[in-house]
Amino acid sequence: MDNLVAAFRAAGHDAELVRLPVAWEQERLFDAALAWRLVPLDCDLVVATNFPSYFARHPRKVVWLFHQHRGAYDAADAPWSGFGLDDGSLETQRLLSDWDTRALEEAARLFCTSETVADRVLRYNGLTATPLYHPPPLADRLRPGPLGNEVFCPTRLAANKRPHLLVEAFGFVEAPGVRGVLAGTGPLREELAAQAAGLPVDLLGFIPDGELVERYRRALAVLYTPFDEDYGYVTLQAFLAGKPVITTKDSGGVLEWVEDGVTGLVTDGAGPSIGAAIDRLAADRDLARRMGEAGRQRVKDLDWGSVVDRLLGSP
Amino acid sequence: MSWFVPGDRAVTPAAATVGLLVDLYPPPQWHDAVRSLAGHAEVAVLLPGEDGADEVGAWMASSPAAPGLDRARATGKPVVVLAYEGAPPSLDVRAIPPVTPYVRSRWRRRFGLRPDLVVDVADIPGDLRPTALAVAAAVIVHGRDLLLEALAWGAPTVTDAATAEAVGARAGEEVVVGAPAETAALAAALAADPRRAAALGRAGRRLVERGHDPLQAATALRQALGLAAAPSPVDQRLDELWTPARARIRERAAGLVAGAAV
Repeated sequence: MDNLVAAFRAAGHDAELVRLPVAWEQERLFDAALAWRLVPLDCDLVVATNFPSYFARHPRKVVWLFHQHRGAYDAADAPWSGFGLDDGSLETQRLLSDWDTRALEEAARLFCTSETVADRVLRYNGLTATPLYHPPPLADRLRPGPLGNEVFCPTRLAANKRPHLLVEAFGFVEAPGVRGVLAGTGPLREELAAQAAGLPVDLLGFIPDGELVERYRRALAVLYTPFDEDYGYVTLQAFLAGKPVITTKDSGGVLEWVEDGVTGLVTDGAGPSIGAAIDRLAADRDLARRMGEAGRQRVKDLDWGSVVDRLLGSP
Repeated sequence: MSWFVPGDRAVTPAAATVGLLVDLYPPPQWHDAVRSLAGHAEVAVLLPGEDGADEVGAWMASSPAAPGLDRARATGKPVVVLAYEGAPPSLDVRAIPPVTPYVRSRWRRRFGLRPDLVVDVADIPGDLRPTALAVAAAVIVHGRDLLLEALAWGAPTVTDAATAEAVGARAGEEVVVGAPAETAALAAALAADPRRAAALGRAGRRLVERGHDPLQAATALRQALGLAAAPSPVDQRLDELWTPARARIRERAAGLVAGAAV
């Protein structure tokens, strides 16, 4: 959001980021949505991005949707969602989907951060939205570099990001000298550390931006295998660094960028197939280089100025 | 649209009379509208130019063919028209909560019903109809009254051309239209396409809200006349989202505004 505010300011507009606290328990889920409805917004244009900010009322409301309350929709069956098939959950989901639809319909323009999110809006709310892509964080610092021997995976160590797929894959990798590198923190860290014992896999924990950029630059490839990701900054960052991306066929927004055999490799998510993908790139570095460059070509023109123009309704 | 209120007319003083322009056989929902209005304003059946017409602050007509409608419009006063032809039943749209295809699919899981459940409304007892219209992946209905009810539930709906035309529903926009021999196949295809079902379901509900809610006409007229007490800002926000009267958020909001712990 800070990048969006900065982009509006760079385009000569005054821009302020407005936040309201949200309570996520079902009992209080609608409180913040209603609060947004009551906030007086003295400005020429409102850009809403996430639930429940799109409940803001304004004659020039533009929605650029990053995601709805996923726990009530596509992730309703996830252990963390809290939504079951009881009467209360089903009525909350019914009312939320109805409120969401009405609030999103108010928008003068309805964009989504990706085709994946736009598809959810169509499937869950019956509304048509337009994907509007934007550059990832650190876009101005990421540069291609020589192919090394690391398969880099910067991600939160949480269940929906599936970092364990990298560890599992390295049980099948045969290429000598290639290592898996997981960067990030999260609740699965200890479990992953135990799983990685004896495998050529390193868990770095948190790393600063400078090291992140350098790891991208010298990687052999980037592995990114979340489940049904909204957008996937990791993919775009990898491409900006000229690296191919190995992913899975159910990774959502990642697949809007990773074309199998062209900008990366799409696997079925099983350890042997991800391991084979890693071996293939390690054995054919020219292929890895070509895929990374093809990826870079696809993302190099993403810029915030275009995003601002589209949000403002410019052609 | 089956009713309208000119939005750019000046608000008429609250003491004004509402002049009723009535067909010989007004539709049943006309009585709902008049009853609702009569609790708030003086109402009188008369025509423009008749004695007492000068006191009229707004007009309400029972149909586009009601006598005196053109002359009423020429007075420059607000005019509300109920545009039904024939006699569909009164439909309390606000009492019917729309259910999206996704939530329908979860209710079917809850009840152990088939994921692709299609219901032909003609085949089920009337007391099961609301449940069927709320949970089915697609429904088949014939007849204007049933179609309005199905669309109010947000049901992905297959119907015949005459029924669709009777409520102003467009094929491919609010409903799927097919000949009797093909409705089952069309409904099965609709049930298997959640994106199309969601778009149709939402558009159908929108049609009913905007065009087939007779009580809205009376409410709109009362507000145009300044007769209805304005709801609180919080209630306005909840109403514009079509929040049910018994929704928990209404109770929470009232408590929060009052400063109570909720």
